Amino acid sequence: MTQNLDTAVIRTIGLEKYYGIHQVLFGVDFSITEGERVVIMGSSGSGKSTFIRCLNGLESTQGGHIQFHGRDIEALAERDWRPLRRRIGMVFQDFALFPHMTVLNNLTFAPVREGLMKKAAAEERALALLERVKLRGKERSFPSQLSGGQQQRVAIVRSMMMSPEVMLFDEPTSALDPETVGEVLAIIQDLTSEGLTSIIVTHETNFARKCANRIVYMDAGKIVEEGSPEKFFTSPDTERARSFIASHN
Amino acid sequence: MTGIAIDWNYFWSVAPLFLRGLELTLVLCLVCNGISIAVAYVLATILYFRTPVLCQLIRAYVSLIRNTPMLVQLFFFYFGLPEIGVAASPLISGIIVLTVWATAYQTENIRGAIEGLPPRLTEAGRSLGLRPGGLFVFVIAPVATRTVVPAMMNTIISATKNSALLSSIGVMELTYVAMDNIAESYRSMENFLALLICYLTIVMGLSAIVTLLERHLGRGYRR
Ligand SMILES: Nc1ncnc2c1ncn2[C@@H]1O[C@H](COP(=O)(O)OP(=O)(O)OP(=O)(O)O)[C@@H](O)[C@H]1O
Ligand SMILES: [Mg+2]
Repeated sequence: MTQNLDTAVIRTIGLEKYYGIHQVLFGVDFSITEGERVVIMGSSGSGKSTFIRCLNGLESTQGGHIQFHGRDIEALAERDWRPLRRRIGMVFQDFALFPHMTVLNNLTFAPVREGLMKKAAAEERALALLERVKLRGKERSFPSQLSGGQQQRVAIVRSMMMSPEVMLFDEPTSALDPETVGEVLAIIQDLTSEGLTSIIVTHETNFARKCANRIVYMDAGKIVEEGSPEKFFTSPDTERARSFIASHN
Repeated sequence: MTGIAIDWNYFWSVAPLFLRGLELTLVLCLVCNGISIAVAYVLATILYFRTPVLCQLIRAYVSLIRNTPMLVQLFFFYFGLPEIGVAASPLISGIIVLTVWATAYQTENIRGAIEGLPPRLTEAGRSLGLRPGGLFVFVIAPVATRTVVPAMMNTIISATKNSALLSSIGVMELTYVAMDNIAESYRSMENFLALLICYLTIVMGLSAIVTLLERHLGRGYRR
């Protein structure tokens, strides 16, 4: 791959992942270009989480390549992943906020600690982002004092604080009450509408239809189908995708 | 003396002696527990970062202490080591042995609390690009500290109670005072009653402090 011809921000080539002797990714070929919003769907255990966790080095891989702007990163040491992770944000299903820190400290801790921002600047940015996700006034609260939807919005803002180029969302609304799913999806849509490259694992078909530039469907550790939302939801090529869609409507 | 009658005059007459013993017990408790908690954080940090060699040494030390009686450790240190030229006064020996004993338990408490944290906490830190040092000091250790308080408290109370064993090498703490009085006056009932009251007071006082501490640490933090 030469860097100049490849417009992909992230690309994987034949990516393989084993947990011990148990193989979960069987040669995943994937790419995402700048500003693209890709939704990954697939049944439970198909390897969606594992795949996106590989993309920011939370999991090691045993075969194939991961490229970030054309550069192989799959074999990086933990310390070399660190600067990359600031450019690849991640949001987890269970929010994973720091429970002993206020909302504001959750947001400013990493950028200040890692010397990316001065404290005052970080707080200013945090407050502006809180305003944007309609949580202004909650900056002194602790995570346990917030609803699930509010915590997830804080978690999203926490990743955004690092000004990432790419955002990875792993089922950001799966742990939420049905009433709060909408508010979180709206925030994701808003924040990614300005061309923030994002990969979103979700079971929310309406969101996928509306927001995805492309749907990637995974099954048993492989990408078996990908295409535009219209194509995917109306006339999928594979039988597996068809039955998956049928069971999610 | 007849039956269970308690000679209150005698009881109050030994009170000043007990106060002096109490003072030493409290100092022992403060010094040994204070040092052991501080050192235990250092050892637990080394375990967390899996520092080679040191990590194995700490594990061996912790299991040695936890799997042998403290009285035997005390005798080994006070009566055994002088034979190879390592000798210290009863007080210093007592402080060292009690501290070494409590440190092993506190290390295990902190290690357990850290390992019990959700792995997600570390992952969240890693995915923000935090370096391991900052992540440990500002996230892992403080969050673990909130869950470790009850276990840490148990060890503090055990160490306080175990300080009674130091009387056996002649440290003039509470229990020594009681035994000394009994040897002189043959009044067991009064002395042991006073002794029980003293230990009960210390331990209940400690529990009260920790309840306050837990409430403080628990601010805004429920699980
Ligand atoms: N830490 C782990 N150790 C061993 N096996 C694992 C681990 N994490 C996941 N697996 C296995 O890997 C496979 C893929 O899991 P993964 O969590 O990536 O699926 P998923 O598509 O995200 O599923 P879900 O929709 O339920 O979140 C599953 O068979 C799972 O049991
Ligand atoms: Mg998953």
